[in-house]
Amino acid sequence: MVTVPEHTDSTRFRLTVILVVVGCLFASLLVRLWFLQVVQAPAADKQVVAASYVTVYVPAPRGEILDRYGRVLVANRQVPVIEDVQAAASDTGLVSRLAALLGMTVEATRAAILNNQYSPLAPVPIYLGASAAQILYIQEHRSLFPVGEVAATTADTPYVTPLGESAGELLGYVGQVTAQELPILQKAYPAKHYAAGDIVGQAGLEEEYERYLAGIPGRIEYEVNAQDQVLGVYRSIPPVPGDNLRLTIDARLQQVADEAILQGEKAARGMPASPQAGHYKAPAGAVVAEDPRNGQIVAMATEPAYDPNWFDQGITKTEYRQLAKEPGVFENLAIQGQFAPGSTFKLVTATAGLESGLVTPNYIFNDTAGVIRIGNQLFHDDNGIGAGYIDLATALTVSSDNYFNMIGARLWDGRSSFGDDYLQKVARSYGFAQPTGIDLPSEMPGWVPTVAQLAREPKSSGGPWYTGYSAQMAIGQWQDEVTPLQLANAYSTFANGGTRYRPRLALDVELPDGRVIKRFQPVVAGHSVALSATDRSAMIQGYLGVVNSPNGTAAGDFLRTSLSNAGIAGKTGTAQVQCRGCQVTSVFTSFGPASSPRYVIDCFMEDAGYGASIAAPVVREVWDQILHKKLQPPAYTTATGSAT
Amino acid sequence: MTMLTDVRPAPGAHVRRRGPSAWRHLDFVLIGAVLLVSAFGVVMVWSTTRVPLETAGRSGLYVAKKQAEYVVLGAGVMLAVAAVDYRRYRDWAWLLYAGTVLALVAVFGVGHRVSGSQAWFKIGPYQFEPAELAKMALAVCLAAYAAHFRGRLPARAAGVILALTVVPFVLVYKQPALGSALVLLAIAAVVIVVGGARGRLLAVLAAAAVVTVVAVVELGVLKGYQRLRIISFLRTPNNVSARLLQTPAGASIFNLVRSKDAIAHGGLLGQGIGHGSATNLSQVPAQSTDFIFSAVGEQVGLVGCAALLAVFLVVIWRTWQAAVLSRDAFGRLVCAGVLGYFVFEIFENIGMTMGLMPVAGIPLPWMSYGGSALLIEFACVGLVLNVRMRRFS
Repeated sequence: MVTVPEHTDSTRFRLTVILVVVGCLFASLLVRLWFLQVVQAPAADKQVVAASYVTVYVPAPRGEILDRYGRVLVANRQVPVIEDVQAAASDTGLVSRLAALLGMTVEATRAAILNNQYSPLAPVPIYLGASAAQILYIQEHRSLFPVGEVAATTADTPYVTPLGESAGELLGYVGQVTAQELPILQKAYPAKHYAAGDIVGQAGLEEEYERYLAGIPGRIEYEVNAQDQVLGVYRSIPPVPGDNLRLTIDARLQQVADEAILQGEKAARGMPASPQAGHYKAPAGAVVAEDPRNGQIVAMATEPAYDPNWFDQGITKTEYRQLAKEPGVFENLAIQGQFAPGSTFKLVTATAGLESGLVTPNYIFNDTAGVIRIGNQLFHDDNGIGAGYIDLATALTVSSDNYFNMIGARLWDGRSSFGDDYLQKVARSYGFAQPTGIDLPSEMPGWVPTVAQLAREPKSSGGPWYTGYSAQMAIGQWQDEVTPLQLANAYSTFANGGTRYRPRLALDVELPDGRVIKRFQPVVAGHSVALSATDRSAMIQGYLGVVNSPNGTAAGDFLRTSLSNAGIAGKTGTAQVQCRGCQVTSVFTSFGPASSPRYVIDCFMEDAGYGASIAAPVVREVWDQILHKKLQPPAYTTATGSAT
Repeated sequence: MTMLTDVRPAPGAHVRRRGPSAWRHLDFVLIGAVLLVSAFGVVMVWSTTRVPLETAGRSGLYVAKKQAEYVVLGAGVMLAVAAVDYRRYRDWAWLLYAGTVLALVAVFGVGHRVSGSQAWFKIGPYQFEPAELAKMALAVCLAAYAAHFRGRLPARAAGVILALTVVPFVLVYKQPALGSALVLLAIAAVVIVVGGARGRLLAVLAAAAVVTVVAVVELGVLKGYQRLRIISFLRTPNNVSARLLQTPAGASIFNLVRSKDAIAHGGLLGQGIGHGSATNLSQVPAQSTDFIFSAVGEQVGLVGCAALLAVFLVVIWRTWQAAVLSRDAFGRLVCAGVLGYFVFEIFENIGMTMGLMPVAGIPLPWMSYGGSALLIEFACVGLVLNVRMRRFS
């Protein structure tokens, strides 16, 4: 049989063409392989490694805040927290069960679970401060709350100990970092690896010393597959707790000061302000105690105040607004309250009078009338009757307004030789009209008007400068405004002989084991106008008289107490406030022992009456604690123990 | 005549009824190459599945063992297919075609749905994919038809071939399994070329193919994810995260980027078998099946990949040679169809893992994990062996 020639040349040719095409295709595969495995290989290494790990940050406990003796003011506490994994958000049944258990709405619960500030791998804390009953319920009903999805655990949360509560405003609070804060913090402290959801200091010392108090978060690097399923832990770096901050504050003194303010408010509210105006309102007060030798603040108490623990578990907007209704609750009055200093400002005027040569310690001023004509205005002494023939010391002791009105007026009248702003210059040398530079956020600068500033003001505010303004300014009235801290710092400057320290609250930074890693040294911010020894001692005599002399303005508060003749010098102030419904500010400042002062203590009580009637007794309570330790050391836990 | 040639044996005597056995001409080079690739495939399947298995507390060898069983079974099927004279298949071609189409229809009714495609019959613990069978059936059937024309394929015959192809093509495409459907087209194309369609006809068909591809991509005939696969192949982003997986389009982009990274991670010599971190951390989705070449790339590098390509080339060369050596048009066209099937799958699969081709659901012959494809691939090798060893008989 003859085979039909099916095998044509054409077929052979076509098969050959196909083989050539196959060859080309394989050649292109080879070229592509070379490109990937030789040219792109180095870049792929990184990609493969990057794709292999997911890093989850473990928050570090914040550092503790201690008082100068190591007593714990802010500690970490283990707060029970209920956590849930993000994958569980799609389980409607689970979400509604959680919502019911935690008393939240289903939407709020789901939103809490789907908090994209957390890594998809990290459990999301959805409920802080869970009760024992809630935790028990979860543990007993694991079929409803699967182990892998819902966890009851604890979280380190800073909380203010009972001892620290009187220092709430000072310590400030922490909260979840805001979108505005985050980039700033990330840029400032890259080593802290700030991420959304972190707890950061947002007020007071917690904010000011964030850089020390915040720890460095730990890292767990998980090996993951393409679906981000965890295959194992590649490495785990434990968190580094934040450093402890030791304050210059004496917690007991702080507590006493705070209680004294509350007592002072109570007393003021029981006092008639005037037949028409009813009782004093006394809504707020502040006490500052400073060590004049170095600027350390040993107490800084303010009322009204918040308890930072309110912020501990997060605070809702409604709660915040409710709180904010109480005026001044979010203000640290000691650095943000600006008050007319009243007669306490006579420190500046006395210094200016002596320094300018307008008066000498022995100069006798005729204050028998109790009234002085300055220009075409009459200025009355506060009590309306004269103090008689008085020298500088007596003028301070009895707080003669006319004596100091006179100095203010003469300084203005003699401005050709003293300059326009002689009084202001002296005030600035004591630190007024500028922030003190204390280590707290948002300090107010106070206000002592200058001629140039007034000239820039519109006419309605009082027209060009004239003698009367100087006379009023000289007794701490008119537009003078100071913060309680500024006044304490000014008297500290006087008390230590003229060195103005920058007041501060931080003593040192310590590791958790107590080793000091940074000690804050006193910083000299400036010097007051120099006084001769005789001038200074005359003024001290005047201040001592306020407290210890029978005709001193605060003698009634101290004379028949054990604090009389204890070397305490002081000055009262009663500042008129020009506003509707405002009452006088009660001011008292003091230093002692006068021979070598160790404490300057001042007090401002808003809408509370005479300096002697409210502020002076408040300050006296603090002195009583210093000199007699009447208060037993309160129960406290040491820095090493955890306060729960 | 009868008395002279009466060589009827005594009853009960052993008779050798045929001439020298065709098995003498068995192509051991082809068998060796295919078994080599298959064995390497088992190792690669092991490398891509052992970590997840061990993580789940199971034996790391579990999936690789199953693949090894398929290989043994496949080798048996290959020899069984080779044992029956291929010309008998020509007689059964229409039955084979009808049965396949029936199976493809039936799979819509009683089929088992896996990851979005209704493409599997479930038989006890095993699953069988009729789309794989369709590849072999179509190669046999088209060859049987085209062989009638003895190297001069008229346009009418080319039309019939296309019509025969379109039926299973549409059924497979609707599963949906675009990749397998395209394999059918590749088989038809090679049969038309080798079957002897005239140059002008080929030019027209080629032009029509280009127009169709462009129209399909542009006119939205494709499902969204299929279109996005093609677009993502054209414009692949450099960085992807696991979140991309949540979208179907993202999944294929993600797959492609991870696959390319894994292959590139192999470098010149590879990370060593069992050592690639992209493979061990399962960074490439579907790595034991369609993306198994990424495991090859990472573990054995450029040198190993080139060697694998060389072995594949041997398989293709021997298939081509069988076509050339075939004593009849049917055998030649069967081998040509199988050649088209192998070349298309190898090139498309390896190409897609490297971003050279769009992603399509096509296994790498003899290597991707999965029984149906492996058995049909072996069966097709059996056809090729069959044609070659019977070239003299």
